[in-house]
Amino acid sequence: MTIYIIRRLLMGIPTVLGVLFILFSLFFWIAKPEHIAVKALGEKARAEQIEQWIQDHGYNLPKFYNDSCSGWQRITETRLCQFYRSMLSFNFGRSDLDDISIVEKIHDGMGPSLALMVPVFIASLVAAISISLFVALFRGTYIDRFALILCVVGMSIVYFVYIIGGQYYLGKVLRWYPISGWSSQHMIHFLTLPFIVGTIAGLGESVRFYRTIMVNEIGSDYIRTARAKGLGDAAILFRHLLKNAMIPILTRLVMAIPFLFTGSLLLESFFGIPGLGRLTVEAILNNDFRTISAMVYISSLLYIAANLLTDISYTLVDPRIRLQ
Amino acid sequence: MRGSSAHRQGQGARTTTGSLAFLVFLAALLVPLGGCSNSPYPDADNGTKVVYYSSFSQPPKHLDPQLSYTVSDGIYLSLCYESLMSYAYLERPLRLQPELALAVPKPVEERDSEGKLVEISYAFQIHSNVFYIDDPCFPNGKGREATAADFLFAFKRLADPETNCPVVDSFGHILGFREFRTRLTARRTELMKGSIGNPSRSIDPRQLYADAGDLAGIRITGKYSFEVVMDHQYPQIMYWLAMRFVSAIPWEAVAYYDGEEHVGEKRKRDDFDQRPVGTGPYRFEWETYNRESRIVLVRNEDWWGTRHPERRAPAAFFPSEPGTALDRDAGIWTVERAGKPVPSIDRIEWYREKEAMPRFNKFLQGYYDAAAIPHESFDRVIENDNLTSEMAAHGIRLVKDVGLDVFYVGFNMDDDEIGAPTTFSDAKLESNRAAELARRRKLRQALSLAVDMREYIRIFDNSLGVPAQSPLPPGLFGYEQDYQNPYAQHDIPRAEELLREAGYPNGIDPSTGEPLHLTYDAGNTSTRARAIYNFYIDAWKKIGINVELAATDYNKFQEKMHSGRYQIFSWGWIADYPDPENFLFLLYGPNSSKHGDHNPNHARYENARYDRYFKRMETLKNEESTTWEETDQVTGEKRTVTMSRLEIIRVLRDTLQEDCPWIPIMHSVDYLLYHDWMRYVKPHPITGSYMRFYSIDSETRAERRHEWNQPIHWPAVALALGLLAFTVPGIVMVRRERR
Repeated sequence: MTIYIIRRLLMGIPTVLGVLFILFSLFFWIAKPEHIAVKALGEKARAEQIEQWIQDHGYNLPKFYNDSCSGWQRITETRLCQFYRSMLSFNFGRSDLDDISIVEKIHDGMGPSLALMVPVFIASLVAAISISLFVALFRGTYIDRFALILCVVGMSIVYFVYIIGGQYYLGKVLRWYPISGWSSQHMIHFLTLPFIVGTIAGLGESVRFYRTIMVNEIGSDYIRTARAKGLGDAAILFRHLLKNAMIPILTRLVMAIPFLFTGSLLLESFFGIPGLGRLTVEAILNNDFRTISAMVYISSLLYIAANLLTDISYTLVDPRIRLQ
Repeated sequence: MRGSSAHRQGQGARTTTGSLAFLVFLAALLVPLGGCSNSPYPDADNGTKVVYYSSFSQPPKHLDPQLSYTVSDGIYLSLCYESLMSYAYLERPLRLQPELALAVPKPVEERDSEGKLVEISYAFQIHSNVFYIDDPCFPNGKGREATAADFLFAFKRLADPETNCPVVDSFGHILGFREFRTRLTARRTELMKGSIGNPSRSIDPRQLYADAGDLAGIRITGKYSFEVVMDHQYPQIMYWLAMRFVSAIPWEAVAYYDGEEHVGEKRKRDDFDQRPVGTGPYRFEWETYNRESRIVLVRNEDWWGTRHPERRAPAAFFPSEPGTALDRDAGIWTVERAGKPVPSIDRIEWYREKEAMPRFNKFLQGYYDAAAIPHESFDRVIENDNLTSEMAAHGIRLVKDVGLDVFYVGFNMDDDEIGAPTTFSDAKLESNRAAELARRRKLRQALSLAVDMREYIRIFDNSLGVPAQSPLPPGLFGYEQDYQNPYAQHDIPRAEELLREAGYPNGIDPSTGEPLHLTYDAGNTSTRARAIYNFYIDAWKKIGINVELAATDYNKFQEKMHSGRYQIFSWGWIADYPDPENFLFLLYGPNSSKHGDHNPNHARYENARYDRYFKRMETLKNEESTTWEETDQVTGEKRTVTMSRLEIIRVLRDTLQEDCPWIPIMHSVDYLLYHDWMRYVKPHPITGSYMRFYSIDSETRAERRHEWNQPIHWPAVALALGLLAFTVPGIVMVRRERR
């Protein structure tokens, strides 16, 4: 397994380099350094000011090949090489938009993102698995049918509607929670509504997914055997069924982990949570190349790690699987 | 058998009990959900402080008054830093009044024996006993007194290329400003030679600027007085001097925050760009500052305006007279408030709201004191240009103000097909130049007549706009309400007539036999933007012209604008200062974007007559006239012409009217909503520290908030019971089946 992990990690290197190359090429295909400067300095910025900014930020270098240099410097004195250098050394520098340290921004945004997404992740998981087990137990009854209809309706509603609806009914009409806001001293107060919205919004799809797995498993021989042995429903469901349904559940779960870090764009944006989702979207909207690069780089690393973790977790839940 | 049945019975009972327990647990979870509070200020003040609650959508980008050029940053900066002058809060048209200066100076001209202008100077005397806020950048953290030397430092820093001031060119009119800039650059390059990093950062900026020599146009005449000197007329300098770019700035703060890295400090220091250190009536509360979510400004208890009421400084008192006749009727000015000291608000708290709807809903709940009207809720709030009865009953008030801006559709005057290029690229067209220019002028006029601006404003801006007749917005010198641009009216028959005269009958291009094909370039691909572009395209289709939309992302659009590969585009301009020059320069020939990528004349309009008159108007005072000699183009006779500034503006306006390089679309109208516990609110078209004049009745607000935000609990109980009522029969049914 160690060799497998090492191999997978090594395979991750070209993947990350490739992701960065695509990001760099795409970004500078669409945007020019002048565009980044204009976003940072404002529409009314003068040509001289823009030039100065570009020079200060190193965007005056050629993209891939520097004709004016000699030897290796033709490659090293380019924007691409500088970009790789800063990414691979985790020296993300300062935001193009407001000149604030990106590490500081990520550090500040990580807490709120995790504070929102980890509870949503856990609650969604527990609720979805519990409800799917419950409806699987009552499969064929009106409870199951109604739950299925609810799931389809839930899946069909746009995320945005959950947010607006939650803010309107729970915040404005019923006045239970603040419509939006953030304070690190009163996190629970501000996170309850986005937590409820985030949990409920994902339930329809998750319950349907887990229910399918549970219903498939519930008709298996081992469940019939367990019943014949006189085991109670709780023991059958949680001790036997859940364990055997773990592989698809794990695949889904582990791949969701990077999102915990990168945060939720819509939830953070609408509820005023200063997390990393909002940071990424604002960076994209403002041509903030350095922040985008840092976020894409971290996300790609997390994805590679999550993929690897998924594979490893298979061996933990199913001893028949061997990683070679 | 019996045993088996009993076993099944037991199993069924366990199922039911477990399921019921699960359901009861779920239902129980729902009940307490309804027991919370919706207050977004759990640690709010206890009523001892007067707080103004507002919101912001973007975190502050730059908090350096010499670098920032956005309205949102400008609000914080204008409350923390003080300029020499500001605008009178209530007066319209806008008038400059002293802020840190004792008075608005009159220009003093010095002429030689031949009457030629040698120099023109503005002598400023600033208030004494004005102190900077306490900050670690000062010895013992105690703010020192601001003096004229701080303004010299501010001017020198403006000239510093490293400051990257976006309006540095405007200060280039000051004597020796450009030369100082060149010397400073040279000095810095000298320091950089053979050094690693940026050694100039480790030098006290005051020393660095001293090394670069004097700035001839700023003469220190005393501890609290200095002169701004120019060698030519440029009256607009007064407006630039009233901007936050020329604030009192302590060199210690720049040295401390932008100086060399300080190794060993617990947390890296903020840059000066993020750490305002001013003399203003408010200061940042750094303990609660989170640029992403909450910004708090607290009253500067040591503010000179409060400490020296005997000076009766205009910046420190509510206006003693109403600005306009309407101010008294609207309750914006009252006898009780007149002449009272300001500010009366102790804290200003801004909370981040990226989306309009949550912001508006919180305003309706009383958690924000003022709000703009979101597009989605416009009909709910405004009816027949007034508040709906629902909003009025809620105690909400409305104020409107026309912005100092203009939005327009422009033609690329450098384009062969639609413009008036200096030389047509097609020799055949060039040989028949006069007639071809006339054809294109009529085509532009026809395109202008086809657009219904009123309809545009109604559909896309909820009628929040004034149809534009020229670049000049209402409230600006030179704007004449009675003036009607004949080509800025919606008149399809006249447009068709002009098209015929231009040689495009029914919009058909005789060279192809097809409808004339033009391109509309745009830099926004959103649904709303496309709807706007299609509005114009449909209007032009009505006169038979086929305009193709080329909507790209903003970056690509900018590229096209720089390279001149466009025919029709739309753009807008928001004034820097209330002078017609700040709008009419948008069509001044040397400002054409073909002479520089970032020049503001995107229509690339060049008309020698316009340029001549613009130069005459540019430096003239509003009440002044000027005389010159010119040759009559028809008779060839020389004549002396005397014109006032207004008359020159009319000539410029009429020239634009005939040449039609723009279709002027609209000037925006800001609608601001506020609760009736807030008073003396008047929108101002120029960013400034006008919040100091607001007043808030905190007690009324607290009562209303309490009344409006009582949680409704019963739906939580109903939901829980409903869940039980729905599922229990099912569980019972399954139990029966299993038995």
